[in-house]
Amino acid sequence: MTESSALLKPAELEPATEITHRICEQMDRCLLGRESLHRLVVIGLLSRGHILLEGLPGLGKTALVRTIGNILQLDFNRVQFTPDLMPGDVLGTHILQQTDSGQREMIFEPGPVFTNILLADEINRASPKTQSAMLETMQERSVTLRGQTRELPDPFFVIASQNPIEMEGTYPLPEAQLDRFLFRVLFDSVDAEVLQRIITERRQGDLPTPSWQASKDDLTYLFSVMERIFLPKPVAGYIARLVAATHPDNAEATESVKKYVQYGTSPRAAIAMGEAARAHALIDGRPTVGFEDVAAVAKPVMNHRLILNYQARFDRMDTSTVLGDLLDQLDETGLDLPADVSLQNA
Amino acid sequence: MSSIDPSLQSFVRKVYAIMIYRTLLKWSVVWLMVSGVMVLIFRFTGELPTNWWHWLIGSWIVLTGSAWYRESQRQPEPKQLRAAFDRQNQAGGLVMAAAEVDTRSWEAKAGTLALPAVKWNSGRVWLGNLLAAMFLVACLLIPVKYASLISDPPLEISQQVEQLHEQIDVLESEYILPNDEAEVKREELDRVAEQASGFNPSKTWEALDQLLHTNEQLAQEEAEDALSKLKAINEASLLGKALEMLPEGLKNQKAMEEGLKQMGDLMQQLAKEGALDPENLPPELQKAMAEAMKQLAKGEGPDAQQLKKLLEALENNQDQLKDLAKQLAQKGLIPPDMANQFKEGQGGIDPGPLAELLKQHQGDFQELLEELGGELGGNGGINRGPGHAPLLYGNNTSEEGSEFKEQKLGLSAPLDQAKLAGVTITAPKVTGEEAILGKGALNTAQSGGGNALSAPVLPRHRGAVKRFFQRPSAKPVNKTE
Repeated sequence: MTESSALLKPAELEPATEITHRICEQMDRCLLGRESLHRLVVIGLLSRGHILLEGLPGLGKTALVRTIGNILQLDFNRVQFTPDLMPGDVLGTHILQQTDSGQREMIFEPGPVFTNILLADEINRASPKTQSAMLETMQERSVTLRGQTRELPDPFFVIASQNPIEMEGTYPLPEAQLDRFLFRVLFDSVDAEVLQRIITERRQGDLPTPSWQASKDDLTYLFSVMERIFLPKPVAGYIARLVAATHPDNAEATESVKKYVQYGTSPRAAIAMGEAARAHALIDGRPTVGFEDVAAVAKPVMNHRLILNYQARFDRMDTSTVLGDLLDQLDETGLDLPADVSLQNA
Repeated sequence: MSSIDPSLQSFVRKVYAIMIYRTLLKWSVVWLMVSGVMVLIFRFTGELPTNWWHWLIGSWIVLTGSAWYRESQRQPEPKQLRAAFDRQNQAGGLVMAAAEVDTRSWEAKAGTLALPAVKWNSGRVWLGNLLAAMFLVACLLIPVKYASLISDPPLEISQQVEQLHEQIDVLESEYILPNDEAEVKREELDRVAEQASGFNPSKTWEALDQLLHTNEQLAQEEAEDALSKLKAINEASLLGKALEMLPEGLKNQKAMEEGLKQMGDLMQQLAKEGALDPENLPPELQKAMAEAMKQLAKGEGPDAQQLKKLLEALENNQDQLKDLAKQLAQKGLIPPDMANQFKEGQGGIDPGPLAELLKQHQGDFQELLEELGGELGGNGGINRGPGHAPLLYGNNTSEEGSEFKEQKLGLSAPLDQAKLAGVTITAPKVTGEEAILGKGALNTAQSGGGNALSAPVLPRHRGAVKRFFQRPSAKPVNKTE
């Protein structure tokens, strides 16, 4: 057995897990009542994925992005997407300037995308032209203008938000762009108890300063550990079967999938799920990915990639319910035991 | 070797054993039911084999082997069982990873992995086994007499078959039925008896009726032939006995010779018709009869000694024909009234008066015949030609004072108490001398009795009937007187 194929040693994994726990802990301290969301955001960052936050205004989306930037000591930019926002406003533009020698030349002025964490606020209000400008940046992590490609800083994350109400005058994100987001996370309202704490502890909405910040080395170490989290073949098989089963014509598709799904998820979803499951295992302090890791990230990974048909609209069916059925009914192991035989914990 | 492997192997064996056990119990429901049915079939069609326990145990072993083989064919893949073991222990992929990478550094932290329980909801299968076992036990204990409830009900025709066999034997022994035809009839009868079924008795009854009908037809044709022969023999015998009873002096007269010649003609006629069967006579009678017949052929009458021998031969033939009729009657092949005609022998005629007549006419046979012919009228019969004597009619018999015969009407059984023995399309057979026909106006008419119309006379009509029979004589009444 070669060194590369060996599992992480406990001594190698434990510091990384400790860092992730600290990050989550600092986020929980700064933003109240969003523990599970914070874990998903950390998973997204570790997976080098982009996150789409969907929720009403005033729920703390910007605060979340600012907090994670502070904790990780990363650059942070915020762009408010509006219908008249042009791609150059995001990516940057060339400006004709006079040099010291008196000559004039086109100087590139980087846009807000050149940062570590970009908050694309209300991304669905921008025109498709501007939205599509984000495609290359999200997938290739680079910007190409006037034939010149410029790499974006590493790490680069996009955290976009969209408002599920006030849909008039908006441009819903096309499937191709939605597919580039690792997660779509629903940003729910917090309960009264949390609100009371916010009112009491966050006067003027000020965010507390993190008591601990991760260094760039910590992030690099986390990414290196992420590379060595082991994905067993049965788990990879389960992810593949899960993604395949979102297609109505698949043999393992559930009744709700067959009835309500028009298009299933793409292979990119399977890749994203594998990465997200690895990150979840890392946060849990395990060197291997288990079925429970997949189950934890399956819904956020796939719920924006599943395209439902009109029947689903009539029946008020959402992707979360369809995916819930699928996760309940699809056996992780593929063990085809008879219905009257079951395995139970000793 | 990983420390996980022993636990994993135990888990795999456990799953495998449960699956074999489950398949075996499911199949055993069918096995018990099939065994029960087999036991029923054996018990109701014959006898349960003495070593049936061996068969039961042997088939159980085969069943177990089959269950093992089937489960070994569809055994889950090891990686699937490993994944299930991992999931049930919430090992976070460590057990699965152990198949691909070295996980020993993490096994100590994972702690002891527990063996997952494999649960099978076997309630329904056990219930099925219990019911099937009860069925098997019931099949072993149920009394065989109830077999008739589910098997083909037998049709009891042994008596009829035996009777038909006896009839065929008689017909064959009396040369009425050739041997080969008798054999064909026996085979047909055996086939009918073998195929007799209570579900469809009419078919069997029809076949038996057909066989009986053909037997009776053959026997009756033979009996009618024998009866005509017997009558001819009786006539010859009567004449011979009358001649024998004549005084010695008359025997030498010419008329007597004429009588003997007449006797000879009768004998020759009998011989032509085959009524005389010399083969069945004793040798000395055969010899005497042959000589007498030669003499008769020359146109000469037999002498006294030959007459005696001929009478003896005729008596022998009479006995044979009577025996034949008796046997046929005993087997029910001819009706009793026909059999009675054989019993009458010489028709109840005493030869003494005939001898006296011959004596009175001094042996003048021709004169006697003319006189008798005038009084007796025609003899009838198509082989005697038109009778030369006129048919004579006297005055009507006086019916004065005659009474109507009283007959007691038979009781008819209620229809609801009737039992259907079978349905046949052949005509019903009327047996017995006084068989009563069905209901209706002719219910008192006797079969073959000749009084088919027997209408009762009502009391108010009796006066009219009486006056009819009290009519004055046919002599015309002189109005002037």
